[in-house]
Amino acid sequence: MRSPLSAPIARDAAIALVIVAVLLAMPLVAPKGLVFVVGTLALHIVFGLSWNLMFGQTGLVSFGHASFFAIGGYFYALVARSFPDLHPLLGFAGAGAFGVVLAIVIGLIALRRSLGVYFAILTLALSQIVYLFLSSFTPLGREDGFTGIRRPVLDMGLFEIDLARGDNYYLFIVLFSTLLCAVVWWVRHSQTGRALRAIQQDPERAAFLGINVAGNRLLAFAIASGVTAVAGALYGPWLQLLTPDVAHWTLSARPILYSLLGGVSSFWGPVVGAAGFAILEYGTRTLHGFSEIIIGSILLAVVLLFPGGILGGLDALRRRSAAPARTAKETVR
Amino acid sequence: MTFDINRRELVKALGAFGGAAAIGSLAAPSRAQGGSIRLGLIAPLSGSQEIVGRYQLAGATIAVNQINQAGGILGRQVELVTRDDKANPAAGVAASKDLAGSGVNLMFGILSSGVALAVAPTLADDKSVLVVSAAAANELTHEQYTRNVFRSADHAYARQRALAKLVLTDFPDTLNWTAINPQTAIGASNWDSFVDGIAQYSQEAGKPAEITEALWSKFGATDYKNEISQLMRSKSEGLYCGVYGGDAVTMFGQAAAYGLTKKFKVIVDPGSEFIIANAMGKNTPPGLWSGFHWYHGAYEGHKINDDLYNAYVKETNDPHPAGYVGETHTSVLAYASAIQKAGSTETDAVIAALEDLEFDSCKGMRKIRKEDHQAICDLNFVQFGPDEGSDKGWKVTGHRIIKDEGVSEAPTPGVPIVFKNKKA
Repeated sequence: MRSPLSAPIARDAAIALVIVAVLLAMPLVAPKGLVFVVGTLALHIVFGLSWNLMFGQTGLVSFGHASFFAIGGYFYALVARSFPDLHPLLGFAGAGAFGVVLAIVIGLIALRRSLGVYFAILTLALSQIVYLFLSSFTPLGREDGFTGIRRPVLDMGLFEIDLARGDNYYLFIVLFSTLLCAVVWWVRHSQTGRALRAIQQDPERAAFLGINVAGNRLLAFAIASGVTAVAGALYGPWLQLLTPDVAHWTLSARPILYSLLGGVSSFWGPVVGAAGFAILEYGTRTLHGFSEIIIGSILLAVVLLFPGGILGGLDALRRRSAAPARTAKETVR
Repeated sequence: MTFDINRRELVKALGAFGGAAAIGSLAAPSRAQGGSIRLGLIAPLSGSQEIVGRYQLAGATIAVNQINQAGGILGRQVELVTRDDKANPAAGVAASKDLAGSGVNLMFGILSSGVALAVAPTLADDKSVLVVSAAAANELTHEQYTRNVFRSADHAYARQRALAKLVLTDFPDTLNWTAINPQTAIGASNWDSFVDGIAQYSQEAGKPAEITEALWSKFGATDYKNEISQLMRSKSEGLYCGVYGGDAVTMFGQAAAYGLTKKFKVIVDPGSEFIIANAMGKNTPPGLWSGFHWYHGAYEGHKINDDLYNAYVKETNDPHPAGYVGETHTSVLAYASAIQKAGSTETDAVIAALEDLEFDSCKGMRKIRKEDHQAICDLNFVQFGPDEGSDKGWKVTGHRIIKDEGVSEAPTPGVPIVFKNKKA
């Protein structure tokens, strides 16, 4: 019997390799504006994938996922400013760990008592609390933001890499994001991932089969939050500024849109959704005032025409085109 | 001359600027073309701040048209390339990098200080220059100073100290001041600057002023009743209303019922321009002094001012151009002078030319300091009052030009401003 992992590993690794190669080559061929958009896209892909680990895989709907993006970003910025000699990788890891711990504390309270729309509203409330805190806490810059976040120097023991030089930080973001995506992929395809899928499909039956439903939901929430916090930490030095907007509900809507646009049932759905969204935004950037109308109309059309997102729609089209051929074959037989 | 305009006509007219700019941007190729000089405007051209961005676009468009009609710069036509920052830092950085990647190294505009502070550190790598046309944060020319950023407009410190000078000249006996400010860095910075000016100028006059602790409200608050009640109990005679824009409209709207505007002898506003009067109509606080980037009525007879005003009115039929129109117009003129002086559009040459540049603008001569890249220019203020006889319900009852003679701080790039008389 073939291992359930072997096919997705080979196929997904090949797809990932092509995407990463294209992203790494971007600074050589693309203008700076596009490189900045793509660097941001890499972080948003992580953001979307981590959200979909909760929704598509586990059935948890969060309306406040941006709060962890902001928490990770501000945590790293504060640590980097307070301890300038600390290795930046420890700072990024610390941001992720902080996100995980916070998610566990919140999840222990929120996930025990509420699911579905109640959990969604609780996470929305959390994000608003984070937003208001960041807006009014003076050491974090309040409404005007946390300024002067530097791109660090990576001490690799034998040599140093100055991430502030040229496109180094862009390349660092692409590689780090790839690692984070690989973590999400691994969770999704591991035994834990299958337990999460079982919970998403029927929590009662999953519990009957001996799966720790509450524990696994908490685990999914913690992993998604930790991964998002690292993405937020990477975003600070990318923009060199963080404002409370990164905790705003409008940013929390992004991973939801990415997943709905690309398709929630596939690992690649949020990747396709985030890329599609970025292409639409970049393509309409000079149509001042019309950009949002065009993007909104296209999103509406995709969601109405392809309820399973772009990948779901393509899959349905592929199956439909395969069906008549099969029928014809069966008739001949 | 009378003007009859409603909101729809104004939006339609200003929308024409937007449409023209959008089409212009689409038509523009991605690389520099046939000798034209390309200037990149970064402004909020959509979203909640578009109401200001449209003025910035109008001023820039008029300046470019005027320069081209006069034969261009160095014999080359000027092309305006626009990018929308949505008043969002990330979108602002994307916009500046997009311009740099398209070969547009000379940029201007930017309304929000947050956007300016995000864009500033990226410019050196991209070999670009930014002339800030509105964002007033002191940090831009102090702790966040970078060689690639200039500000052709006035900044928070100068304007608020000039406002202090104005009120102490006009109301020398109003010596007890309080404030309501938003909980933002610019709100704190504005108030600190105003207090700095009040303390200095009142001591110089031999009548030291007294500052009562300010009230701090949430930025974007919708309910100011608590703060208004506290202000109604205040013993101060002067009120510095630091909440600005839409917040000021909300605050004054709620304050009218309490009679707040009648309680204080003097009310001043750091820079809402026409926003409060337009929103309050007949309820406009009588005698309200408001800070302006540029007030056209103060420079009648000055050719650049008159030409800009007439072009604006001709295009929009709006007789009240916001100061932002003048400031983006000025930034284009600064580039025109600098390019002319440098004989080049190369980044380093333009930076060198902008340093110590003296040039004429809609509000007279300005000089950009070499040390911190801050323009030294006139500070404009307008006084409003209700007008029962007019449709709009308000009128301008006075205006003032304060010359920047010792109003601005000494240049200290890289070092924060030191407020000598800071009040929490």
